[in-house]
Amino acid sequence: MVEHDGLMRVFWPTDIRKSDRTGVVVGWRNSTLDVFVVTILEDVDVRPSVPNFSPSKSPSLASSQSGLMANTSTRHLQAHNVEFHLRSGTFFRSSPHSPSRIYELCGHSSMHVLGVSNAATQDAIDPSWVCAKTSTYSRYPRISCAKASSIQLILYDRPHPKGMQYISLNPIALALGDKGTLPEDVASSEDDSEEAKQEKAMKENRRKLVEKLKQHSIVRRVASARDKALPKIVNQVNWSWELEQALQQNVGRLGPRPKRGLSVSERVVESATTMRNYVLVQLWTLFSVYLFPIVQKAFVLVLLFHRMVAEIFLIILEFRAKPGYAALKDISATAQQTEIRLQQFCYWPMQYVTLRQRKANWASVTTSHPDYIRFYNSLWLVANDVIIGMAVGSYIIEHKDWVADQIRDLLRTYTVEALQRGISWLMGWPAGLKLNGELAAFLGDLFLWVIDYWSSCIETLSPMLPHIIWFIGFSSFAGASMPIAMFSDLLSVLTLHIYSFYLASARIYHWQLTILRSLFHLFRGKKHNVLRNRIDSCDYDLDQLLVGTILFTLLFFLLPTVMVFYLNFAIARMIIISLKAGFDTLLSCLNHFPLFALMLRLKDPSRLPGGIHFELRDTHYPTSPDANDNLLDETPTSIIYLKNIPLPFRDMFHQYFQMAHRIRKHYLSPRVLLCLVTGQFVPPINRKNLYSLQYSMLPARRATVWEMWRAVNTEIDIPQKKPFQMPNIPQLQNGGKRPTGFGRTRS
Amino acid sequence: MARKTYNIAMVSDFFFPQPGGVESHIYQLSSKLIDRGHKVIVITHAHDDRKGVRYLNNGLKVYHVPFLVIYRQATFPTVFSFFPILRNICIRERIEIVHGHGSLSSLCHEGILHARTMGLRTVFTDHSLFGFADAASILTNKLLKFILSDVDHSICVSHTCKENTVLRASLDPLMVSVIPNAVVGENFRPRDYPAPSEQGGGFRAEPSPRLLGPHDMITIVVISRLFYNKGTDLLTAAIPRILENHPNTRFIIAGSGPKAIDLEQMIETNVLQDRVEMLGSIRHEDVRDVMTRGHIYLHPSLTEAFGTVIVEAASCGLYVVCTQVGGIPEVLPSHMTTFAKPEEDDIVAATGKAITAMRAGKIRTEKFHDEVKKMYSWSNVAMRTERVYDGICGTISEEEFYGFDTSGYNNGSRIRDFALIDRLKRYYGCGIWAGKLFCLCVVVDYLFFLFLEWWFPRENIDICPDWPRKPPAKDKAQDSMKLAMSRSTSSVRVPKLDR
Amino acid sequence: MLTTAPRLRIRRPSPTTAEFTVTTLPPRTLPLRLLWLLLLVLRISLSLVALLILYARWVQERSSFGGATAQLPSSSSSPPPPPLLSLDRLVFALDAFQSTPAGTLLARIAASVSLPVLLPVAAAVFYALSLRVHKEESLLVLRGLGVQTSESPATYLAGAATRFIPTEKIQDILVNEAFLGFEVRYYLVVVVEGEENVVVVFPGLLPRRKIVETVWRGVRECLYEGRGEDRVDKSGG
Repeated sequence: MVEHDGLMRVFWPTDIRKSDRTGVVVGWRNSTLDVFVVTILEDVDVRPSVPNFSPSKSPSLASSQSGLMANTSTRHLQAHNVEFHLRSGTFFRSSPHSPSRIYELCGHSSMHVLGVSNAATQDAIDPSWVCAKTSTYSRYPRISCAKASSIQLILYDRPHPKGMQYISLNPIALALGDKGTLPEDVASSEDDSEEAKQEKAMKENRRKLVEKLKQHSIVRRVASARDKALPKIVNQVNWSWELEQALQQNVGRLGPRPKRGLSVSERVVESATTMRNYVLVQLWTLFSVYLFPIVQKAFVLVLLFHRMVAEIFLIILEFRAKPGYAALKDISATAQQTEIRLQQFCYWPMQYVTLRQRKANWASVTTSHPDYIRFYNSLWLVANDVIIGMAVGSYIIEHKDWVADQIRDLLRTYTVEALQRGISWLMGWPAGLKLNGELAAFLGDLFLWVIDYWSSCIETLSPMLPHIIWFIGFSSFAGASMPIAMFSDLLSVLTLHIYSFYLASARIYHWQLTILRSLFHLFRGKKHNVLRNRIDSCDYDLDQLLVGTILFTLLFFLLPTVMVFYLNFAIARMIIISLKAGFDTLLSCLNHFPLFALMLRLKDPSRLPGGIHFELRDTHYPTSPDANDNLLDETPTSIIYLKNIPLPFRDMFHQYFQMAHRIRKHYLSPRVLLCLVTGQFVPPINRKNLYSLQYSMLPARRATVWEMWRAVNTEIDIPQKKPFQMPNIPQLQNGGKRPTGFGRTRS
Repeated sequence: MARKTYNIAMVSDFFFPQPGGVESHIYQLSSKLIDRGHKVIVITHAHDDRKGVRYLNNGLKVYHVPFLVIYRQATFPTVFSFFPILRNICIRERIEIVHGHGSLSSLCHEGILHARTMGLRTVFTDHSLFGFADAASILTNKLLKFILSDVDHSICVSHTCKENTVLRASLDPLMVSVIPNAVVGENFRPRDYPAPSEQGGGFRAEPSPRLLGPHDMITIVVISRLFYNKGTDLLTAAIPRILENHPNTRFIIAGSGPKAIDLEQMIETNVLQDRVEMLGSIRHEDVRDVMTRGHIYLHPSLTEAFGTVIVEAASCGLYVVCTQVGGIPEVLPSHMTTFAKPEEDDIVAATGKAITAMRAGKIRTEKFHDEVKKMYSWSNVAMRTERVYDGICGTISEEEFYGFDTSGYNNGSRIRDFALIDRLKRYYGCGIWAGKLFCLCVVVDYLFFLFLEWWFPRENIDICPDWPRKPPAKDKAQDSMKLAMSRSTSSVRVPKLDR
Repeated sequence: MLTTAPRLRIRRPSPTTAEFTVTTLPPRTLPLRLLWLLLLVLRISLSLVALLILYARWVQERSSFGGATAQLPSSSSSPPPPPLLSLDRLVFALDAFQSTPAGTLLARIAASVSLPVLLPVAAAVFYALSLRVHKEESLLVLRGLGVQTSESPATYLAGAATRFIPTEKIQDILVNEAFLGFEVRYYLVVVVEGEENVVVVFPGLLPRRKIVETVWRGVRECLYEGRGEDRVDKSGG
């Protein structure tokens, strides 16, 4: 054997039946000394009449068979018998789905006989076979193998596939990973691309470092077959429960079991269940043949109509006059929120169809579990949103006058009176600063006049306010996120004047700074070379220098006056932006709280695998009076327990951290501070960035109406193809009669 | 008798990956010392992509200590913050000698001060010249005096530099040795020179002189960092005039710095884009390729202690035109250079003379390489440095090391002992106020040392395993070293400084 | 006294499986066990006191919110204690404790501190009481499967954080040195293929060079030495 370094690895399920009876160990043989135990078939009987029994695997065994004790020869026969049946697929003859999927995922063309358990003698069994010794007393089996010089016994808990438990090497991904670049990415603003460039350069640097690190490895070790088997083994662990069920159910096919006729009471129970099943099936046929298709057709048509309407709305929301212009959803939070809901609505049927396909396969196929969690998470969230929204909505509608009064008061005190007071303060000598009186008076009068005009506008609008509030309250029956989005928009509209003041003062301030800077260069005998983007030396004429210097002095002394006005409005603007950021954060919390995942984590942590984890157990056997003990103790064995790590909470909220990071990077960067100081426009965070959190639950491109129509129609086909499954009958002892036979014969 | 080998730590702010003369000096010296069986580590500050511990060729270990960088790659002088980490490194590497480089490097000064406190031998190498008049120089000189008053021995790269240092730091001239820089001849071959592997045969034909016709293009190379003290302003003024006087000439300028814009602007105003090529900063290993593209090397520096780049240029077979400042006149024999005063007119004239001479075929540049190779070699430098180490560690007797005058200035021996009171005496003599301040500093440093011994006990620091050492080389070149000594002491000049 | 310098413990039931544990837990001796017990009792009693203070404060808040009327009749006539092992009994016992001198003292303390101070302080106290005394970090090496690092969390409430790296992904395991604060330390790293960051083994304790080298040798031996594949490669090439 080439790969023989004496290490035997045995995967052993913890819930295997512990008895003292002999049996055949069945499972997957990944390589010679790397075996994966699925189950022990006990009491499989000798059947010399196996039609084409050919011990092709080990002819030496067959030849030596005759000279052996009867016991060992029967054991051989037993094992080869099992091997034959495993190869011919007898065990899966009655399974609902094709076994080829099993073989594909587990990486073998059939299951193997791995050894024997509780064998009486050790002689003359294949040297690579496992001899397991189980008993009802000891917690761990004792493994021995003729070829092995050391043994890793790895115990694993079988995940329950019907309960959607599984293990995986990598943490389950709760967001959709396959994001294409959206077309809007092209039109992102320049400073963003600057940041992106920096980030890219950093990433490139890191990549180079990683490349360099590779050169530091002295020996490149080739992974052995055992090392590479790990993903396969994970699949085998996931399949282990279903395979064991199939094997144990069909073990009777191998031949007559220790025979026992059905007792009278059992026969009564059986005939009663047969009768019950018959009636149920008749009723079900009636329903499924006549009533169900009509209901379903109607539902699909209604769904499609809604989908069309949604499509129209979505087109309106996403309409751009020119590529690169802002669409409606980029401007207004309400539009954005509506769009998200509509998108979710468009995605649900597709998701549901995907989930239905899961039913058509073995339960152990784990690829669709994240889809399941995503689908129900978004359903739960919408339901939750609506429930909270109803409470909020009814409160707002009942107290609409009070709410309107409050809003009006707030508006008057903070956006009009406080502003007026601030401006008149600045027109005096604020905080002892001696500003230029004339300029301050001019600017102050200008702004005060606009505020007066604006407040009169607000006054005429105020009788309308209760109606608007009522509308907002009513809209909250579509979810609590709706009124939040609307309040956010309302805030933008009602503070329009502050926004325009900010823009105007920032413009003036920025102009002045730019002029000052170029005059300062003139002062030093330099100039800014626009073509080369650098500072050149330059010889100026005397009159140029004179006028430039006078202008520089003038503007420099006027700067503080303009600056205080600018700062005043910039601060007001920053407050509004942070309020809106607060609203946006609240919205994304409502829209993307991993509620379902959290509940699952509490209910059944093994449904959210976050990787695997091994635990070294102490090895000590209870002393038993068996004579073979010395032989067993010779091979050093380490007992390792394979466990599933549930997804950590940190990973669940990963996207929240990401969003917090993004907001922090956008607003707390030195760039924003620089913009503020130099009077450039501080852009609010790109909605696309902020909302990518929510879009991460949705595919990059939504399915068209036609695709949905096709998907929904194929969905109808699936249940017809599928055989109807009977309600589970309590399994009879001994498994003498297979329970689901009736239902299957009809299909 | 087996030679004693040492564990040496080179401390400086200036080390790779930034380019420069001090950097390559440290690297080459360390590499040759390792060849001679010593263990050498380099301690420098971290660059943005180079932090932590690295190994270079030949088992040279480099510690990039994370520190804040201020102007021109010099770290911020934080007097005591470097001490804990230096102590840790010295203990784990079992350092015996701390060798600092560069009088502008605060890391070096701190390293020497702390090493003395820890009871290690120290050596200081000065690579630069300074004035005495302006405020910055006075400050640096005071600092230098502080550090050098307790250093075991100093090394200067040229005699001019030695005089300058002795004056600045009021040192005993016998405690300053002169060991010049060197070049790696193999790395600076002329264009058509065969690679060393090919010239295995004993006989090689004498290279025929390159003859330049009157219309052949002559290329003038300038490689320097474009700072004020490197004479970039002179260069900016001289280039248009040189190009105007000599039609078939062109310039190649490599290096970057704040004055690069002035050069660019000059090129644009005089429309010289096709005759002046600016390469920006280049890596040290590319220097040779740039040099071999030219015929004349122009070095307009305003102050220079040694000028390794001139030797490199000559080694590449370039005729050198340089300003007559600092240690430059000591470096090359007169048939390889044309000197100019550091003035615009003189540089133009000297360059013109050089171009005419080249065209006339008077200069046998093809012989320069072999001549330079004979003059300068790093193993020689390493050997002479090793003798300094021997001297300060007492391996060779004081009489032998210091020669005729063993009496010293005031007390008998020049061997510096580590007793705190003796150190304080030496520092106290530095000046009326400065002396007291320095004493205070040293006392604080000593207390800090005691604190560190208590807080991070010596036995808790892991000892590094050594890189496999090379067997110590035999002193076969002892006599050749004496030769070199006698040659380099031949010319003594007054330091010429401007401003 | 409760911790020592990091020391190494090796469990190796078979030559191909080993667990290297670096811990600051000193060897168990009788005085140490007694000290542990004492500490445990101290922790429990301190957290009980904190809980009782919180309860007292809650009672005060409840009574100030109009619960006072409901309290009055119950105080006039003392009903018989509810049956043992029930929630009512617990509340009864707590109320009874409130009237003892210790209870009144706690109530006075609770009343004197304002709520925004009390709650964070209580949370901080609970956190401090649940902190672990010693640290433990381990590396489990399984030939054919991979290596697994784990470190004990800061508090007794959380489980150990583990990270499993399959053999296929292990590019290299090496000892490196780096600056840490004012020292240069040796540490063991696993270079994982396709990942930007290396995984540092024993990141919190960073044991000394001797331990790191022992573990490094052990890991290489356990993972690679005497593998069938390597032998084949040698004989082939």
